[in-house]
Amino acid sequence: MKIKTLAGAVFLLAAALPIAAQADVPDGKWWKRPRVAKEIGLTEDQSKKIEAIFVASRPRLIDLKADLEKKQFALSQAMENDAGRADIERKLEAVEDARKELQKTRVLMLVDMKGVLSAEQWDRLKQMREQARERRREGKRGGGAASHPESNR
Amino acid sequence: MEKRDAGHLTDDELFGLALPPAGEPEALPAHLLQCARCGRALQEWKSAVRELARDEVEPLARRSSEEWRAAEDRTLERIRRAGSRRAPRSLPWAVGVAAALLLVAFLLPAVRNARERTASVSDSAAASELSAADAADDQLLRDVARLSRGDDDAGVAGGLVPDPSADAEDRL
Repeated sequence: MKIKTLAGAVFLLAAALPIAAQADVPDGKWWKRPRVAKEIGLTEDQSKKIEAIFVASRPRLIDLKADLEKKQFALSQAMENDAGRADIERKLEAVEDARKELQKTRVLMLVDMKGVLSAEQWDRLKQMREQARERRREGKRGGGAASHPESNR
Repeated sequence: MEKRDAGHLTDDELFGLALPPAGEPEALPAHLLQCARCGRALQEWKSAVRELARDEVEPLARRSSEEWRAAEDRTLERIRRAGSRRAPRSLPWAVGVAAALLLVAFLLPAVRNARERTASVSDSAAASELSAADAADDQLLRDVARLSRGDDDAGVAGGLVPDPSADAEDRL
């Protein structure tokens, strides 16, 4: 039984890893940034298709973001008011469920966007994200404030 | 300037050969081809110069004042050792190199500040790349990414648990 449970967990982890990797692209509206578009060679047609994918996802993203924030607030209130353990546990699970839904919607949107790009464009986008992250780490080490570094690219 | 000793190259000449002025080709004197002593001396000068140039700009930028002082002491010691094997004439150069190191140490904070100011200006420029509607969408996407990754301040623990990555003054 334990072996089955462990195998299931490993399977779920293996399935989740590529999804997490999909989401590893610059945050924000990167396809509207001239420097990003130039760097990955984004065409006008691709930009329009990606915008359409975002516009289709936007209402759900707004709803899910608001839902998550409301549940986070409820959890925060419960903890501040010393609510019972069971109540806090329920609210915590609600927060994590809401977060999962938001993450799922975001990742599926990115998967659709990936379908518009070539493999090279997608790889370059991920590289840019990694470079931005590296610059942020460098900025933190050097004591600098590197806010939203990926927005510079 | 010291005079040549039995036709050997002076420290000034050796230093000039080890670190030629930018853009000028390194013309080796014919004496070097015949004199093993001057050849060795030149190698010592070159290795001292290489030691100074070994670090790249980025690692240099991260050095603390203490590290700079330690590097300065090491360089002075190395130059003193190299000089004492031949003659104590390299001290003026050691002082020059030490002064250059000190200058870099004092200039670095200014360079860092300038870089940070540039980054901040770039952020503003990046934000202005987008129209008002796009900027709102951009913020939505950033919030969604942050929340779905769990990077938000409220987080799972509702912000009541101290964040170990927070600044020292934020810790309990």
